[in-house]
Parts: sequence; structure tokens; C-alpha cells
Amino acid sequence: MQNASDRELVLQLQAGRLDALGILYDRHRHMVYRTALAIAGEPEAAADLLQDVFLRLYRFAERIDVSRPLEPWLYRVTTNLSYTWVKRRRRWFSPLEDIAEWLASSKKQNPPYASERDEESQQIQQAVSNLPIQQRIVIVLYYINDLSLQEIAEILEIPEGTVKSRLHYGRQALKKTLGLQEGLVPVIQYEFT
Amino acid sequence: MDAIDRKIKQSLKQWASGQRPPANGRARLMAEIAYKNSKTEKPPTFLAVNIPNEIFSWVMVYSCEKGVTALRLVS
Repeated sequence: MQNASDRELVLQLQAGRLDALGILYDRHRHMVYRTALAIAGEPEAAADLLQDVFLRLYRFAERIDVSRPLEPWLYRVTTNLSYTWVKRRRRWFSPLEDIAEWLASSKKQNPPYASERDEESQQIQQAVSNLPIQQRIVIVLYYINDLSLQEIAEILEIPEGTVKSRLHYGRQALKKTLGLQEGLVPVIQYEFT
Repeated sequence: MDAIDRKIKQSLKQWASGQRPPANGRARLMAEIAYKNSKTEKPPTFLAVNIPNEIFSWVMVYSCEKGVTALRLVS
């Protein structure tokens, strides 16, 4: 059963086999968790979102079209739930509190010996978490999940042009942030004599 | 894809690869499904808001029974 395809496992899940859900969970949990975490920005929220995605897979297994791949369905549910979570949260927390909390949780996760490269990754992830939610989702699906513009458009059910535009503005914002960081690094100038 | 694009991708991927879902996630999922299933199978509980309905149905049943008995007595 471990070697069964997603389609076979969904069919078994539709027949009421809970072990099929367990295998699907093990197979896709990293992808779902990382996507949710990159969008939501909080490990606790990402763990809850991961749980919700697979509860929905169990609840709506009957409605899943087995002739199509499962991953786009998982991406769609993950992004929709993460989007709803972020929107709800925004009503209660101001952006400044949000950033402060993210910084605190990032620090908690970092071991004291974290390398400079890790810090750079954290800074970029932080920059992503400060993007508007719609740009953030596109950036996450494009850079972390390696999805094409067409795949993202199908998952989010928006025109490909909109994906391109959101990716462009998100990328510009990230470049600006990176540019500022690069500006802090002293540039060595060589004089040729 | 320019150099900064590659840098964004590399850094985000590096960050993502270090993130791990909770170890007890599968057990938590199965426990929640078991709980939800047991909840749906549970018999309906008695609620205070149903008291008027309960009294009404008891009166109806009682009066019907008495009526039937009265009819039997008459016949």
C-alpha cells in the first residue's frame, strides 16, 4: 500500500480506508506544512492548517476527481485555508504586532549557532511574510514549490496574467529588500595601476 | 531568472527545507477523525430548550392513549 499511487489511495479513502489517509498524510505533509508556514508565518498556525487540510481530504474524499492529480487540490486547499487564516488574524493584530511576533518566533527557532546563510534565509522569509497576502501566495508557490505560472493560475483559479503581475510586484518588493541588505555590505574597490 | 531571483529561490528553499511538520501530526489527525466519528454516532443529548416540545409530545401521547382507552370503555 505504501507504493500505491495518490489516485489508488484516494480511491481507497473513498471506500473508507483510513490507513490510505495516513499514507497520503506522510507523503504530502512536508509540502503542505511548508506552504502553510510560508504563507501564515507561524509554526503553530501551520500545524493547525496541515491538520485542517487533511481533515478536509477525509471529509470531501468523495468529491475528489481521481482522474486528476491530487497535488493541485492540496495546494488549492492549503492556500485557501492559509489565506483565510491570515485575513482573520489581520482583523485582530496590527501589522507591527505581527512583525514583532514573527521576529520572536524566528528567534525561538534559530539555534545559537545558526550560520550567516541561515540568517539570510530568515531575512528573506521575513521579507516574504511582509508582502501583501496575494503576492505572498504566488511567491511561495513559484519559488518554494517550483510551480509554473500556468499551474499557479489553475490552482488559484485566476488568469495567468494576474499571476505574472503578482509575481512581478512581489519580486520587486523582495529585490528592494535584498538591495537594501546588499547596500549594507561594504564594496571593495580595486585600483589598477 | 537573474542573480537576485536565484538568490531568492535558493534562500527560500533553504529556509523551507529546514521546516519540519510536527512529529505527532498523523496521530493527532487520526485522533481527531476518531473523535469526530464518535461524536456523530453519539445519541442526541437532552437539552433544556427541548422541554416545551417534550411536554407537548408527552401530553399528545397521553391524551391519545386516554382517548383510545375511553373509546374502548365506551364501546
